[in-house]
Amino acid sequence: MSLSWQKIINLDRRIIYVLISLAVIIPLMKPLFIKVNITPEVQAVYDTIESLPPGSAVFLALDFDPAAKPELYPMAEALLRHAFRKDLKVIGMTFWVTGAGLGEKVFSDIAKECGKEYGKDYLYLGWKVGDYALVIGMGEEGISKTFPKDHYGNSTGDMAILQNVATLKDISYLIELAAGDTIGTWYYFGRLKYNFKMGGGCTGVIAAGWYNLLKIDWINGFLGGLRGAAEYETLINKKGTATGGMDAQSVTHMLIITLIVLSNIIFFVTRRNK
Amino acid sequence: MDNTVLLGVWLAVGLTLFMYSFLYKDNVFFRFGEHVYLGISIGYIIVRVIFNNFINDLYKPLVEDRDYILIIPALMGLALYTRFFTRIAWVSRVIFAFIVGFGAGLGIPRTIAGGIFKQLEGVLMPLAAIKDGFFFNADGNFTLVNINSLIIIVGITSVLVYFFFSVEHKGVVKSVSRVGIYFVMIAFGASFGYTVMGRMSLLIGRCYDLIEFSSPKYYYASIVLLIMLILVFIIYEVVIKKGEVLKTNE
Repeated sequence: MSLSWQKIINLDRRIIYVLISLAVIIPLMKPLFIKVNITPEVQAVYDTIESLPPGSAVFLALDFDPAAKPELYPMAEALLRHAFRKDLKVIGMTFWVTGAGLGEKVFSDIAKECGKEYGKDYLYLGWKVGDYALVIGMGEEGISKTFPKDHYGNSTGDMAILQNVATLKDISYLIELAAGDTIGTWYYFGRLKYNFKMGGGCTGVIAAGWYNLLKIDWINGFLGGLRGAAEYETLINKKGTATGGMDAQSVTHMLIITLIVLSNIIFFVTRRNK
Repeated sequence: MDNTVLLGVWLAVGLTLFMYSFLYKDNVFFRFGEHVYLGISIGYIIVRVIFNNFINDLYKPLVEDRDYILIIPALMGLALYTRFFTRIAWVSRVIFAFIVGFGAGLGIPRTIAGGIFKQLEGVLMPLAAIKDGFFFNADGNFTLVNINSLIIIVGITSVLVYFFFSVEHKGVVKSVSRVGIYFVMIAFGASFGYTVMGRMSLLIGRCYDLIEFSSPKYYYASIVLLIMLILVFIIYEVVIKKGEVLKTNE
């Protein structure tokens, strides 16, 4: 008896990797359609965008790189779809040089899908060095002065979208999609001074810390990890990769919980036997 | 389909499988993938910095728009490199002092106002705002919002006591600090749970692509490359390693 327990304790870790892989791949190939419930923090972001009148300006900060793509890219897609459906003007940029290409892709893909015109309905500023100096610059000097050229090298000064949205003061809602700690930059040098509403989305790794930001009113809502993205996809009624991934997420979580419980039971049984 | 897209797909699948091959064991494919990733990331950053900073923000405004004021920040930036020359290294320290002074001047007041004070306000204000009763809101409906505030206050106080080392942890202090440990453990657990979700999301993201690229449209890229990789490992383990063992025995 104790020998078989010992065998399980000394289980080759590669068997667990195989189990996890199967737990991910099978639900992705054969979806289980597990229901996604909407949490209040995600609903708050949705409601804010929903409440904005057409023509309002939304700023989308895409502060992530390819390593966070599976979680934050579906959020960017869902948020852009929602904003474009509501006829909002969307301006985007990134603090992460390695994320500049992802930002360009999500803006051009979703804009094409929704039939939006570059420079009139949306603008992608891309990446530029400067961190908080950029936020201060966009708030004080203006967006076109801080970014005289957009991601593609076009002059921003004469773009229609910036005629009514000269500075950050003209932004109705800023959404920060973060894989790091850039939300502080947007809050300290942006929201604190120019008082625009702020919401966000973040990777699962940092999501636990963001509940605190809700409490202290830095943001009015946020999308936490893949689950947050799946919730938003459900709200806008457009299923995407996040919703599909939630089945795999749920199955792997169940597997991990089972393994944790099982290993603890075995640990206590073998300790008692000793 | 465009050949460049197909090449990109096969490269992406190959590199993904190379990276995941580490789960079997450390190997040459994993190390190759790792180095390629590092090289491409650095190369991409260098190109972006040259294009966005040097060309768009410095060269073009200076040469085309004759914006000569940019010479000052450009010289300040270049002066940072004087630290490589011992005799004039002091110049870089002057520029660093400027950067630190500017950063601290901008950052400190905002961090205190927006961070520390806001945190304190977030903790204290909900209890101060209770007017209509602890368990009932203004409409007379049952609410647990105030319970949350109470839990936060107990949590913060007990964790602070746990990290207060100037007093020996005995009696009441010991009991309160023990409560603090539980709060810290719960916070770590919540954080770790989200981390697991985050890591699984990355795996799901890659699996999505692998499944998509295993279709006939991409000439079964994932399946072909996976079989090839497994075959290489089998050949290495069975043929080459066996040969090495035989050689050693001889």
